[in-house]
Amino acid sequence: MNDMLALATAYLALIALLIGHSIHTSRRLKLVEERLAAALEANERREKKRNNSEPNQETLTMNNVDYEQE
Amino acid sequence: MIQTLSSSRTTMSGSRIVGPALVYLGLLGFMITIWMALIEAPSMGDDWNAPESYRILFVHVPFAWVSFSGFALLFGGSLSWYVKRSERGWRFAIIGAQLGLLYSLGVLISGPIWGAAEWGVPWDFQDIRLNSFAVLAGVALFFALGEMNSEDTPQKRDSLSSVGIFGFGLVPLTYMATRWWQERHPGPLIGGGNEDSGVDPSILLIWMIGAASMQILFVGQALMTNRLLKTEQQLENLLANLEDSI
Repeated sequence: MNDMLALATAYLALIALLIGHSIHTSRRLKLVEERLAAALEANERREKKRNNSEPNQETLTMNNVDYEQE
Repeated sequence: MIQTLSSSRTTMSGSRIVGPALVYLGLLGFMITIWMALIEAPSMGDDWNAPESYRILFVHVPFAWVSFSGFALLFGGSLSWYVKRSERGWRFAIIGAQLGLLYSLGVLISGPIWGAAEWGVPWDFQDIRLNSFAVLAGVALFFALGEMNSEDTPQKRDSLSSVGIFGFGLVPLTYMATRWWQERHPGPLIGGGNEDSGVDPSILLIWMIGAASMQILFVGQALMTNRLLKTEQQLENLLANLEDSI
């Protein structure tokens, strides 16, 4: 193998390997963090919805009790 | 509970900055190493078949040293999972396998290119050092692929951990191979203990800068991968909770 060609090929391959791995990891991390943020938001909405529906049910039950007492 | 959450958030935000910062610093150091290898390193005479390609060794050797940090992390993490059932230990084992594989790939790419230029052949199947290192890289590859492509169960973790623990036995063998059975791979230049060992101080300096840079890069990559694995686990738990509640 040609001396200079071997040197250039090895250096370029190693630079590509290290930079490629770093870019790949940071992209994966960004993607997973975005998915986590979306899932947390969905979870929060669901909790809010549940909390809103619980007082309504409580009011309904109390109204029924009042009606029966009358 | 709230305190735990806030402290874990502080740690996460710390690793959010420190990890990438170390990666940038390590990559900068790696580029400086290459620049020094091309400009500062002394030229080799006609004793070498490929007097320019020898500059590959300024990154090949630090890559090999740092790959052993990966194998050590794989061993420690596997042991920690096997003995203590530690989640952190399991994460360390995964990080060790992935980074051990990355750096050993660097060794297995640069070594044969230099071998093709200097020896005329890229590989020697009679040389124990070359072959034991390839098997070591194979152990990391097996662990990384096995971890990625099958369901996460304690049985799987036990099996892969045992590979990580016993595979580490190849590290001392690989280290000592050039002392016990030197075939084609050059013998030890640092700490070899014989009269051929020893290296020019300017060459040693570039090697040390390369090794320090790559070790910094390794720590940065390990921190980022750790954060990635933790976030993936958090996401998985949250999605499982959401599914259960529907």
